[in-house]
Amino acid sequence: MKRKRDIMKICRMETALLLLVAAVFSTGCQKIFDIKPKDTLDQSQMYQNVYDADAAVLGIYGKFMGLADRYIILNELRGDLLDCTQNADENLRQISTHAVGVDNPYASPKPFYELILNCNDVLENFKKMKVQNKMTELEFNQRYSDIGALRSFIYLQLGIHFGKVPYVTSSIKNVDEVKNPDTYPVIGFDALLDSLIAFTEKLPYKDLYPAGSNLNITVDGYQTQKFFVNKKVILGDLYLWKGNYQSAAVNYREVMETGTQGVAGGQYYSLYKVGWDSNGDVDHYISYSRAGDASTLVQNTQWRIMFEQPFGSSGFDREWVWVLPFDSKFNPENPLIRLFSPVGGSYTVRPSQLVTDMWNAETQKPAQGGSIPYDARGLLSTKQIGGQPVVMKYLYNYLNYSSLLPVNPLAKTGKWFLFRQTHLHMRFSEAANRSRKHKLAWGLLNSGIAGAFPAPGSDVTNFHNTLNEPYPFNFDARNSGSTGVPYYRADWYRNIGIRSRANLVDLAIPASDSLLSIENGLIKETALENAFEGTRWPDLLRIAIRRNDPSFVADKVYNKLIKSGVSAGAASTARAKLLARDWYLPFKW
Amino acid sequence: MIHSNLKHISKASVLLLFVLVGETTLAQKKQIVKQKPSVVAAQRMTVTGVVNDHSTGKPLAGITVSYADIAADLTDEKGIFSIKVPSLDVELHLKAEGFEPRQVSLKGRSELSISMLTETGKSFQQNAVLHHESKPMRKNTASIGSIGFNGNWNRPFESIDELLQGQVTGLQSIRRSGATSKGANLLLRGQNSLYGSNMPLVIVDGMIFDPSDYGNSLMGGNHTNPLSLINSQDIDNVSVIKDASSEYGAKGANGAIIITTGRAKRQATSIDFGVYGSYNQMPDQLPMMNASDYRVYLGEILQSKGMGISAIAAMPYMRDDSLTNSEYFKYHNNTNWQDKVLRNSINKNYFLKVTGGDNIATYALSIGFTNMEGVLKSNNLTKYNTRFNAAFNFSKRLTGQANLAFTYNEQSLRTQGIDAKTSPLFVALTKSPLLVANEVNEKGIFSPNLGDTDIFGVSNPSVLIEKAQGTSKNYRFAGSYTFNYDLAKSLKASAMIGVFYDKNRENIFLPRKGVADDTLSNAIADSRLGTQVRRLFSTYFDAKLEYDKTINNDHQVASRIGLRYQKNAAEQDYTLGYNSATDELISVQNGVGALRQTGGGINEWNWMNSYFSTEYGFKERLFLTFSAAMDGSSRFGPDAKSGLGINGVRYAFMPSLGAAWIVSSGSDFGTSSRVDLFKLRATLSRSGNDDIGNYTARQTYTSQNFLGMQGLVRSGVPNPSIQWETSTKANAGIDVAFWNDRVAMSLDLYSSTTTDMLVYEKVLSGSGFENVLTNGGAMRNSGFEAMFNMRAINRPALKWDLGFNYATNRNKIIKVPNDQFLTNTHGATIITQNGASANVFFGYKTNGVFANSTDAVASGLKTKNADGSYSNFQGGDVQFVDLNGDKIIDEKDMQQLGSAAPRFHGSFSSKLSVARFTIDALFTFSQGNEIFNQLRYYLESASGTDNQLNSVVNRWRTEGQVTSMPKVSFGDPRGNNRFSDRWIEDGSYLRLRNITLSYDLFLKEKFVKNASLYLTGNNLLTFTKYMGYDPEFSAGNAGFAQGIDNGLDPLFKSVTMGIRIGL
Repeated sequence: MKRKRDIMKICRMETALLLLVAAVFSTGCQKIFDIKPKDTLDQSQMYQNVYDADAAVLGIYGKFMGLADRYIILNELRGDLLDCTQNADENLRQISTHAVGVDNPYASPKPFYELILNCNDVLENFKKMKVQNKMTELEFNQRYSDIGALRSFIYLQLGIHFGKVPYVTSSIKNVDEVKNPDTYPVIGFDALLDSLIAFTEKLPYKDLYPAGSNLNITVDGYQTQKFFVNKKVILGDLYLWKGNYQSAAVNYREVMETGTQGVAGGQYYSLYKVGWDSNGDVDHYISYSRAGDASTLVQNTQWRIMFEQPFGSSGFDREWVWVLPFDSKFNPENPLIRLFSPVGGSYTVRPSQLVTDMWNAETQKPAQGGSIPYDARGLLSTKQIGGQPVVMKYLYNYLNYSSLLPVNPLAKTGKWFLFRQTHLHMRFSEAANRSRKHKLAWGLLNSGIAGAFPAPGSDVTNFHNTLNEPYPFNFDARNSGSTGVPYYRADWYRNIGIRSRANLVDLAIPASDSLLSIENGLIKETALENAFEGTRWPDLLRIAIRRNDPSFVADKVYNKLIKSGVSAGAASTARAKLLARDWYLPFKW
Repeated sequence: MIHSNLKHISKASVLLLFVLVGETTLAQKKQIVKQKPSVVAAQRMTVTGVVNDHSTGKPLAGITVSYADIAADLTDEKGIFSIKVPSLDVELHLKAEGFEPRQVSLKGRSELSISMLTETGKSFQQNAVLHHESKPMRKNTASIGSIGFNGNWNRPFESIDELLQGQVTGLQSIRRSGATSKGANLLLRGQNSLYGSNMPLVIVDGMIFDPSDYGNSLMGGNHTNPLSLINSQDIDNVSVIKDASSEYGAKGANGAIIITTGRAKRQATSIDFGVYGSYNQMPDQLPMMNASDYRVYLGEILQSKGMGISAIAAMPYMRDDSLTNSEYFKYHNNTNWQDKVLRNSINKNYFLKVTGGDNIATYALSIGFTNMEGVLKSNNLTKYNTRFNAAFNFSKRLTGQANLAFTYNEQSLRTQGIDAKTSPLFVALTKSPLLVANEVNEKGIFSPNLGDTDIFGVSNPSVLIEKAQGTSKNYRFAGSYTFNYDLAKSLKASAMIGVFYDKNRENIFLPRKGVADDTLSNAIADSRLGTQVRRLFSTYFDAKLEYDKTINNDHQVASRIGLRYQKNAAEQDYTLGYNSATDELISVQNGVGALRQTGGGINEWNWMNSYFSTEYGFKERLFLTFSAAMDGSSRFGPDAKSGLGINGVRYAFMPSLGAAWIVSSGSDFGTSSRVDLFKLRATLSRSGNDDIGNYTARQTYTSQNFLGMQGLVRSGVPNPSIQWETSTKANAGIDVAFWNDRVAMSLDLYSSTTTDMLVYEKVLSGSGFENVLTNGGAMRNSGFEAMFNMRAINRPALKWDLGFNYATNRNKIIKVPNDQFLTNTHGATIITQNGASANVFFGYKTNGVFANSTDAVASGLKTKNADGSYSNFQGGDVQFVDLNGDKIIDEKDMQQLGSAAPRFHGSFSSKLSVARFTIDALFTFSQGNEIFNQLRYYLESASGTDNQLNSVVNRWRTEGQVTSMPKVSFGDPRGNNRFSDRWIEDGSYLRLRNITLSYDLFLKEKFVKNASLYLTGNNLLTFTKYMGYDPEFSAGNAGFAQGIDNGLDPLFKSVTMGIRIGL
């Protein structure tokens, strides 16, 4: 009996204790186990106000900087202007010869998606903030549109290089979502363009951050406005890829007219208008201190200076649409010195023989003493260092243009160039040309609107313009000269054309075929003007797709490879591959 | 004399016994009289017996013979006792100081003759001091190893993790390095986790003692070992629980080590004092090339770099004319650089321990001072430690204990391991012997000033020793208070509250002169300065109710239920500076402002564990245990797949079951059997590993700079279903004792399966992540352990105890993502593959060196160059095995090269006592473990201007030369130095780990109670084929770092002399 009672007692006691513990557990434990990290920010502490939103935007751009070398390698080394040096490793050579293995790190889509996923997270949370009134409508519109447009840009890059890609629009909140294949719907390039256009077009704010915004400031000596993607340019590009030339031209035109506001002055007439300014630091001509003397090519100012100029200077502002700085004082380290420079870098890529030949095949405008038989932009875009050709555009903040030595070998300051007014004019012209505005396109390419629509005499009322054309092709470049009657200084009167600015003779177009000749001329001019700035491969690919002519890209790559000394077999393999429309990198899942 | 002493002691102990148990016994008797007359009747049975000393055969007086808590007697001068028991089916307990306790099953006998052995400390009657209680090993259902230290009086310079080496079957203690107090890596029954901790849980005096080193030292290769902050001389007992550690829930997967520090055993004041000195011998040096061999080598390597003969001849170290060469004396020497950084050294230790008290409170107070010098010059440790343990009797019902310990270390350290610029030993090995430490002028006159970086850009090892600075000051305070309250006769409540606080401050300085420059992203770092503080603050709470009752003399029930809570905060803050104005400005604020870097981290985590356990014993022969724990932790994800969900929090549920049956106690086992114990035991348990990262389940945002602005980006994808790793263990064992308890042996078979094991799962590119941490893996350890202890000779003046520990463990990966993955660490590639064991080296097999180029080309083997083209091998290149037969040596030809885990390991021990002399020896061994000798990889790679091992003299030099050492080739274009079996070595060893000769002084002086002299040798003999300094080292705690010799300061031999005096 006693034993039974004892056992009963034990059981009762233990039951009571278990109940006690259960009581402890069901209260208050949640708090004990809810520890927020202190050296990082917990989700619950993020996205509380507009400053958090600004930090999210800056974080995205900080991460975006990490794509700089990849962007240039994929967009230029796959094309025909950039080539490998003997220092290049197998991976770079694979990119150059279009024989990319699936494990090639430059061909990994992962870094793009890392950024996209971050963008998705930001977009999703911005929407929540707006609903919760943690941002004003305007603050939301500006920031949401910025990150949205940047994401579209990255997706466009993915489409260009991989063709069919997973179009991920969710932020992926946990490992289960990561592992769920439904998160990654794969779509083709054309469908991707549709999705991107639909998304980007709907962005509520398409201008830049205005003065007074937290994100349009000067920090560490850099004016930040041009750090951020230009949404209209992205939209223009998307339409151009899609073949919607009218919409492309509309968007580009709006950017071209950025300066057309306020009081008429230098900025009004030449911001993104490829206009003269009587100041070499601003208008970026090619010229000679003694006319006709090739040895007196101006280097300390004019065309070359646009790559060296500081953020916020007039010349810089009028030329550049989108550019990001690498500063040696801050991470990340500038990867472009390592890529391009034989001094303080690894010098793994160099200008191709093909681009050198292209420059050398040009002729400059006849001046006193005769014309100079090459394009001087070649001499300013590249230099010989130690007998080796070097891409200089990215190095002018690091190496002195004349001594070719660094001021401080470890101060690897530089810029990542993404978009400038010549891209803008060439792409607008491409759209205009396809919209049958051949002469306008030809004019912007060569000697400007006034050059294409010259004035016969002193009455310039109906000349120097395309005002009879519908928007966006109606430009007014009327200029009466100092004595003209009536007196005209129209918005575009200073536009001088890309080739004219570079002191080159106009491109002759056979009367029989304006469309393709002008398009070819535009693509070629982008190569000469904007070589190594990350648009060559997309330009070639876009035209090849548009014309359904793979030889447009295949032959150019083949020529580069043949001239670079790669085996003829490898060059032919690359050509055959591209001819077979095998244009895309292997997508490593 | 001895006899009378013994008598006094035994009388005293009986008295003590009565004080302790008298009351309850009386009470029980009363109760029994009232309720159970039949039992009282049964108790009238009388058992008589005679007890003698096994070694002399003479009767022993003063032995306590007892039956449970109910009856006791002392043997008289003829060794005779008489005791009343309820039946002749019970167990008698015999004990006396100086003798091994015994337990005798009556099995129907009423007359006994029993022999007692003098103490061996190894029998199953010895108590294992566990977390809640202390009980004889024979009552355990689990596999437990127990070591009675009684203070560590002969090896004061070793920390507890080092002392455990060879002591417990299945516990692998691998000392990290020869630097002072670096401690050992502990692995119990193999590796249970790939990415989590494999360190057993350490509990000191009832409180969890965190042995982890949070954050990294500023001095590479160094590990701060918190276990060295437990002064080993304070340790009384260590128990190692190998299985069934479910009670510790999500912290128990790697077993538990329960350390109990000394407390007063009696009220009389006792003072013990020890003084020790130790001589540490410089390790045997590696055979490096001398100056003349090196110069030949240098000439060849420069040629292979492409330098012309005349250009090489013009180098100052080649021009042998002291008149025209102003730098002749600078470059024409033969310096043994190892002599410049290694030394013989001395250790000192003083230790004082006072115990005593009265019937209200007893205390044990100890203080110690230690100074240790490593064998690397400049390595030095000064330690101050104190501990105060007290026990209080506040009232009859309320008692308490206090344990307070404080240890302070001050260390001088340098970078260890492979570091070409700052590690003194590595730089000494690779530095050109042509140079000297001091500056020398063109006339050959040496300056007292140390020389700068040399022509090869290599640091001056003497500068790294003498001018560089590295100090670590660290302390830990650990304190706890426990209160016990007897609620009722069988019911007790207790609560412990404890805290420990760790702080570790480091300062480093590397001067510009004599240390190779470092390159920062935007500057050259001439001099380097740094400071760091690391803190760990932990509070601990443990409350429990305990119920303990014996029913009807046959049924023993002990249950407890409790709740533990631990709150932890770790913080690391560092600042690094560069380029102070002069080498005299050594503190970090003198660095150039623009280059200053700061960083660190903060980590916090909480753990709560509620536990329940119950033990049931029937007639002291059948034992059943059940325990269960429920764990909550801030680390667990809210969506964890297993466990229990309560109110939005996931709890791990960890049960265990154990049973033991002492077959030999049953009457059917026979009374005449010589077997004293035959016990079967088995356990099945589940426990967990909560080392899964503190914030893995959370979505966090981390700062991302953009110029000088700070942005915020997601720091990764959270895994809200992250959870503990689950370890399911099964253990079956046999304990046998025979020959009058002279032989005690145990055999154990076990299997331990880790599921929910943390692995990095590769995820789709579209996620932007490389991989995510999930609980998707599984692994199993299974093994066999044998322990054997014997009193081989038992004569009055000669006693010889032998011991043997043997453990073999097989590790098998059951499940990892994609069935296998590779890990690159410390220059090695390690494969983790389903079906194979963890941590298998994975590289190329070699087949000698091509004797000539025709053979090499004829073999058709090619290797890929960096630009993607292929080259043929040439004469003097290594001939790699072309596994897949495609004639191209690439990663497809890599294969398994062996594992760092030993096939078996263990120890032998021998203790020989002759009169007052005792010789105690411990041999440890490890068999079948492979080592990647990374140091030799650097010293035989023959691809740069660094000095090489003497073996490189045998390199291939001419066509047709047959040798196993490839030719020199600058930059190694053919990949001769790829990770291959060239550097995989057999790491098996047998070592005389420790040998102690002690002598107990015969003292007439009453004032001094006892005095002993000790002479101890450590690591005196090592038998191994391993070519490095020493086959024992640990590059890191991670499983992947096992068996990689990255050139840490080597272990060394030492001889310690000491004296202990008891007052």
